[in-house]
Amino acid sequence: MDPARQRGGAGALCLWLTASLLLLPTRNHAVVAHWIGLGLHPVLLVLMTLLATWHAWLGLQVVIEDYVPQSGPRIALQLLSTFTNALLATTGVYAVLRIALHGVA
Amino acid sequence: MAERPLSPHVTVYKWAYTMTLSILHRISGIALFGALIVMIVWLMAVARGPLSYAEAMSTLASAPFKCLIAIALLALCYHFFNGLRHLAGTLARVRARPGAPQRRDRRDRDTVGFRDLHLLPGAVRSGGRMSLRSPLSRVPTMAPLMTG
Repeated sequence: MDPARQRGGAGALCLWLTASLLLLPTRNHAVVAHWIGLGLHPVLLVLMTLLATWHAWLGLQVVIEDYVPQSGPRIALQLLSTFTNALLATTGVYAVLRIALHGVA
Repeated sequence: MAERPLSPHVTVYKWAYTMTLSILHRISGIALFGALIVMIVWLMAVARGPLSYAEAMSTLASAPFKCLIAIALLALCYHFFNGLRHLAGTLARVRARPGAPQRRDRRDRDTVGFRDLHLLPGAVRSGGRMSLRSPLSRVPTMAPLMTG
């Protein structure tokens, strides 16, 4: 398990987003929304959202398996993790698309 | 359940600095999961327009949230660089530094897990250090797994 592929991508893209947001001259709504919609940024942000939630899902799975020995709570927590990460992924993708396509549709 | 060895009973083993690194990796990972939730809520606020964005930003600018963001940035740095360390270990199979527990082959980990330690009296009690290779090679049924 634990394919290493998503790790590098998630790490690199998280670093890119953090650095980019910190380097923005101001962070008012217009500037941030413009930056998110710029060029390839929405594509990279969608990719980052998917990789980050996938990574979190795998990581939480391992932590739950290791520290929750009773099968009932363990399965409940794993389901919760799966549901939360799926929700986060779809919400993130939806938000990025909505910002990027604002005024297009 | 996954087909992999699970986290052993930590108190059985002599402390090795890699254990601290490992547990910090998990703690920072869980902290970053919280940060991921905050980031996606923030993205949603951007999508909903200037009003909800201003609300979100004023919440994030409050003192407790500033502390949490500082912690999340530290966690990101730690998790990122420890992740690079893991990646280096996985790709190059670098030798463990002095003081780190002995590295085992990936194949050993796949065939004989931590859960099999109870089959091997002496494996755990011999000084506390993980020493899978020597006790295993004395067990006839498991020897082919280790050598072949």
